[in-house]
Amino acid sequence: MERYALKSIDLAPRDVVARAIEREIAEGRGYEGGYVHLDLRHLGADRIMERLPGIRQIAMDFAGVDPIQDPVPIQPGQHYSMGGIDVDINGASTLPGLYAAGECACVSVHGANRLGGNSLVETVVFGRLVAEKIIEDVANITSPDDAPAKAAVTSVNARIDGILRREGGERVVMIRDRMTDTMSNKFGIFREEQKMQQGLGEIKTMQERVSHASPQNKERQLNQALVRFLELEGMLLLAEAVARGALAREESRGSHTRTDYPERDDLNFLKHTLVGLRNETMYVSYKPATLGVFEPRERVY
Amino acid sequence: MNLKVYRYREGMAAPRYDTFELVPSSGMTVLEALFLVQEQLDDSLAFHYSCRGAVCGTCAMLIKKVPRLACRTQVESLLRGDLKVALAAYPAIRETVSWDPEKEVLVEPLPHLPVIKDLIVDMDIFFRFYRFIEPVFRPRDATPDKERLMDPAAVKKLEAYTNCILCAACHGACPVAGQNPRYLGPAALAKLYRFHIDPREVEKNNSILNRADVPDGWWACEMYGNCNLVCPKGVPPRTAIAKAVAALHREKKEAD
Repeated sequence: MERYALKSIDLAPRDVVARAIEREIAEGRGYEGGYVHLDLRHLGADRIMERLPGIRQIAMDFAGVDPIQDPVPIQPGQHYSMGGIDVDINGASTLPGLYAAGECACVSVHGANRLGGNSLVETVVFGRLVAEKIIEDVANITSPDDAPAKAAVTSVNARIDGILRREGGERVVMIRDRMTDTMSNKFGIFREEQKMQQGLGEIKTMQERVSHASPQNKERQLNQALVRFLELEGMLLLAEAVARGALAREESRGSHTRTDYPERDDLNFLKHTLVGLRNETMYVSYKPATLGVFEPRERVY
Repeated sequence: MNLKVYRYREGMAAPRYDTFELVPSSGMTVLEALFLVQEQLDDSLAFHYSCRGAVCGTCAMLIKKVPRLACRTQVESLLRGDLKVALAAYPAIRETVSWDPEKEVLVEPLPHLPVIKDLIVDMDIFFRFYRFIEPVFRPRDATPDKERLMDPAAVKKLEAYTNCILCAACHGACPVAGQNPRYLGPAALAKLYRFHIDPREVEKNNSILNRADVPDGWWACEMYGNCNLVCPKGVPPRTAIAKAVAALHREKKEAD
């Protein structure tokens, strides 16, 4: 890690470490199967048992490796969604009555890079703030008209019937695996215009393909195949949002690294990307970043 | 390798077992094997899971007659017979279906809870007991300006119990829970004990332990100890119950 973060070495932020791992593997210094080793042995058994018992257990359960004895095989993976439903500091979205907190929300405390431990901010701080705001708001909200909700339930029900009526079509899992490949290979750690354009095309094709697919299981109760299908539809929309946002952001910032635009560009891109849907078409817009007491600085580790 | 899976849905007179033939890859967990069935062989199979990393406690099920988390149970280790646990016998782990432990991985829903569908059980009762013991931290002093610092030794003692992920493996392993549907069960009792030993709590004598000083609480445990053996997080409910019972006995004696 000295090559990538001279001062913080192994304790560099996760985006720096992820890029370092990818580069090492790409340059042929990884192990077969595309991974590198995380060596904790210098910490010694006592410190590992005291400070990292959970990490040790994970390594033993899922990789069959005891970090006290051997290095742990690691590779970068999608870990957290730094974006989410656009909400204000109270967790309120632009749709009255819809609040969000946690990983699904975007209060914009993380910016382009969530640092270690910061998901606690989402749960502990915003979980409470949003709950307090809801309690406050509920008192002032008159009983809503439930007709639109009922109409929505009817229409979703009809849509689900339609999905379950479809016969044949592709297996849902095939499309999901394909989407995983596209997102890892075209929108992964290192991004670049041409690859991303290609990826966006693949996503659009998959959205079309999923509209003809259907689970084989036609049950209406606890049908997990149907859940997977609906999740895939949602993920393909999210994939398109990621793609459009990443393509438009012609700079590198936080975890968004473009090999064709390697520098951070505060002049043009010190702002939040918003993706919306209008007449079933996705569009990108921006909202200014509130910096508060922090002055943007170059990140040096 | 064969995965032999319990199947049930509403309306069936009796559950049935389906056998799926799989090629286990290196490092494959039971949860991954179930995904493989759902994705490749039968997408009507239902089971609960969430984090896939032994953190959330959603995927506890009876695997080769032992309550375990599917997400961290390796198929290869099961087939090799590495994961044997000698549990005190109870009806749910008796041989109710013929299977070959050397070639098959038998997967059934967690015992002592109603089956909703296939491997999915209704956790309502389990959480009703949890709610009953009021698992809420009530510190003795007003919120301080800084953190409430704790002695590392006390933290260690507490951690043995706060590590519980509410997966209900202990509940499914408890012979008493199988017989007495009102028994608060090992998970709730261990959690209650955790508040009793928390130095920051407002405890007067055994006031916290008293919440389960009822026939179906501490006193219903028969000390089988299956709970200690199956807990995926190393929580020892039996130990907690024994200590609580001793504390209550002591108090009663002093009162006499």
